[in-house]
Order: sequence, then C-alpha cells, then structure tokens
Amino acid sequence: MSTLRKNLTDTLNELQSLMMANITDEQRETLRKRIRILFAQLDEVLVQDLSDSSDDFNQALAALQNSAQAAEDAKNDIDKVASVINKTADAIGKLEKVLKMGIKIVA
Amino acid sequence: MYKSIKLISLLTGMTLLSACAVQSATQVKTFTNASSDLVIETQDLMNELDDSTIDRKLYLLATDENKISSSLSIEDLQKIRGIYSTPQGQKAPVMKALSALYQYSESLGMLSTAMLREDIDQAAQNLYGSFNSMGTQYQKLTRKSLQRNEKALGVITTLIDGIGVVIVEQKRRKAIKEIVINSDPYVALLADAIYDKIGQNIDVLKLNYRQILNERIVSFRKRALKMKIETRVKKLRELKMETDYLDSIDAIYATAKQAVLALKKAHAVLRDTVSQDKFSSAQLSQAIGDINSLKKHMKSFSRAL
Repeated sequence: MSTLRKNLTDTLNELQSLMMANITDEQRETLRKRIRILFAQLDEVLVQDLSDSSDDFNQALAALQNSAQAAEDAKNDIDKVASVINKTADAIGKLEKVLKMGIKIVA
Repeated sequence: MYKSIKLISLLTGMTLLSACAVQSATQVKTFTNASSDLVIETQDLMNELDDSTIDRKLYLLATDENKISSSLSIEDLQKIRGIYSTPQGQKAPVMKALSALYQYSESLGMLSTAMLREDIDQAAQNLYGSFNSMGTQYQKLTRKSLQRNEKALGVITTLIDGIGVVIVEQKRRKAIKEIVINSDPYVALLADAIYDKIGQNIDVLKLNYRQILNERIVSFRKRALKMKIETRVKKLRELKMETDYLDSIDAIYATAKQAVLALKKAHAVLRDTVSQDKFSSAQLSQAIGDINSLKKHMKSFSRAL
C-alpha cells in the first residue's frame, strides 16, 4: 500500500537526518534500533500486498506521521529526541498490528 | 582424391552458406547484439543498485552490538537479500521480464546467423521459450494476460521448418520477417510494463544509500581527529564520491527507463524495415546507434557504482 510505504519512507528519512544531528551516542544508538526495525517493516511492506483501511491501518499511518514530525522538530531542539524515540516506538507497535511480523521493542 | 573433392565441396558449401547468412545477419544481428547488451547492462545496473539493500542490512547488522556479540546466526545472514530477489532466491518479475527480452533477442540473432539446421532448431526452441516467458512475465508485472497469437505462431513454426536442412536464405528472411512483425506488439507491451516498474523502488534505494553513508560518516566523525589532515581529506573524498552516487540515483534510473524505451522503438523500426522486405535501413542504423550510446552511458554508471 503506497500510503503506508510513503509514510514509512518519510519517517525513515527524518530519523536518518536526526541521527546525524548533534545528539549523544546513546540517543543515536536508540534511534538506530528504531531505524533498524522500521527498515525491516518497510521490507515487509514491499512484499505484502496491503490494501487496508482498518482502524489499525489508519492508526499506524497517523503514528508514523507523528514520528516523522517529531523527528523534524527535534533537529532544532535535541531535548525533543526522547519524544521522537517514544513516538517511533509507538509507530512500530502500531505497524506491527498491521504487518504481524512478531516484532517486539526491547529498549 | 575422393576425400579432397568431398572436402572442397564441403568448404564451398560452407562458404555459400556463410555468404547467405551474412545477408540476413546484416543488421538483424547487429540489432540483436545491441539489444541483448543493453538488456544485460540494465539488469547489471539494477543488480548493483539492489546490492545497496544488502549493504544497508549488513551495516545495520554490524551496528547491532548485542546481536553481533551474542546471537548472530546463520538465519540472520540468510535473511539478508535484495529487493529484486524473493525469499526462495528467485529473481523479481521485472528482472525475469528483462531476461525474456534478452532470450528473444538472442534467439532472433541466432536464427539470423545460424549455419546449421541444429542451430536453427535451437534458435526456434529458444524463441518459443521467450514468447512463453514474455507472456508469463507480462502477466506478473501487470496482472493482465498477454494473449498469444496461436495462428501467427503456427505460421512461424511452418516458416522455420521450411528453412530446410540446407539453409535457404530467402526462407530464413521470410521467417525472420514474420517473427519480428508478430513479436512486435508483445515486445512493446512488455517494454512498457518494464518501463513502469523500473524506478518503483527508488525511494527505498535512496534510504539504503543514506543509511550506509550515515553510518560511514558517524564512524569517520569518531576517528577523524586522530587522523592526519591528509588522511582526513582522503576519507572525505571517498565520502564525497559516495554522496555523488546518492545524487545520481535518479539519473541512473532515468537512463534505465530510457534504455527500455529505446529497445521498444528500435524493435518497431526493425518491424517497419522487414515489413518492406528489407534487412537494413538508415532508420535501423540510427536506432541501433541510439541503443549503443545508451549502453555506453549505462556502462559508465556501472563503473562509477
């Protein structure tokens, strides 16, 4: 489904930019973990033939948009990185409900 | 004495056959050579870009310290594959569709130059295989079926059979003419379908390259201050080159798409040429020239990558 794919790539783009900002190694490592999972979910989106308009699907889209927006905001205010990490975790969880890959976020 | 006469007869026969084959081969073979090379070049380029997916996965795996130090397994490595291959190790439909065009082009080229009946039969067999493959891959790419013209296939079979054991050039030309005319709609449809699919994953490929570059820059940042200025410049130059590749992805895909259109156009020119019972024309030379110049362009991208 192109919308899910588009939102995933937009979010990954923003997270990649934030990863290169002047943040701590620890924050970068946590961001990287989120990026790693989002990439795995993107690979799955490319394979699965998703055409959905369920609540889970729409919630995943909204959560991805929140994560992307938060990442964009945090580039100018690194105090907001923690919020990006949480919002991305939320997006990953909601995507998992759609993709059912058995992904769990450890940290 | 008898042996010498037999040898002379054989050599004379071969020379005549060779002269005959040259007539059909004139531009048809040049066309098929150029087309096959261009298809290979397109596949190579797409494969090289696809390698970025594998590299991105390797980089993300390499930066996963927990995984690397405690639970890395064969299964983790088996999961690493590109966009254009399936979990079963098969190629994606767009790559198979390009292979079908390659097979068609090679078979047509073989038919135009074959000196022996066995080679004609082999070319015919490959040609039918390529028709089937073009149909299957078209269906996979578009979810529409490509109706085979069974009547035309029957005519082609008869014409190929009619070429005979001692290859009759006129009959070979007739067969090539029918094949090219009847194949043209399929080649055009398949080329359009491939055109639509090429570049579909450009967003993902850019993300892959960016992830790899980011990791390399992060790694450079950590080590840079301990390096001599010359080493820093050397490393920066490498990173700059990689950034340039990232910026050229759009151009690479645009060229690959252009290549598929050029193939379609050149085949239509070949169709028009053979329709007039000609096997060479200025327009065909021009179309072959276009294919060759695109091929060179793509080769330069491949080298850069």
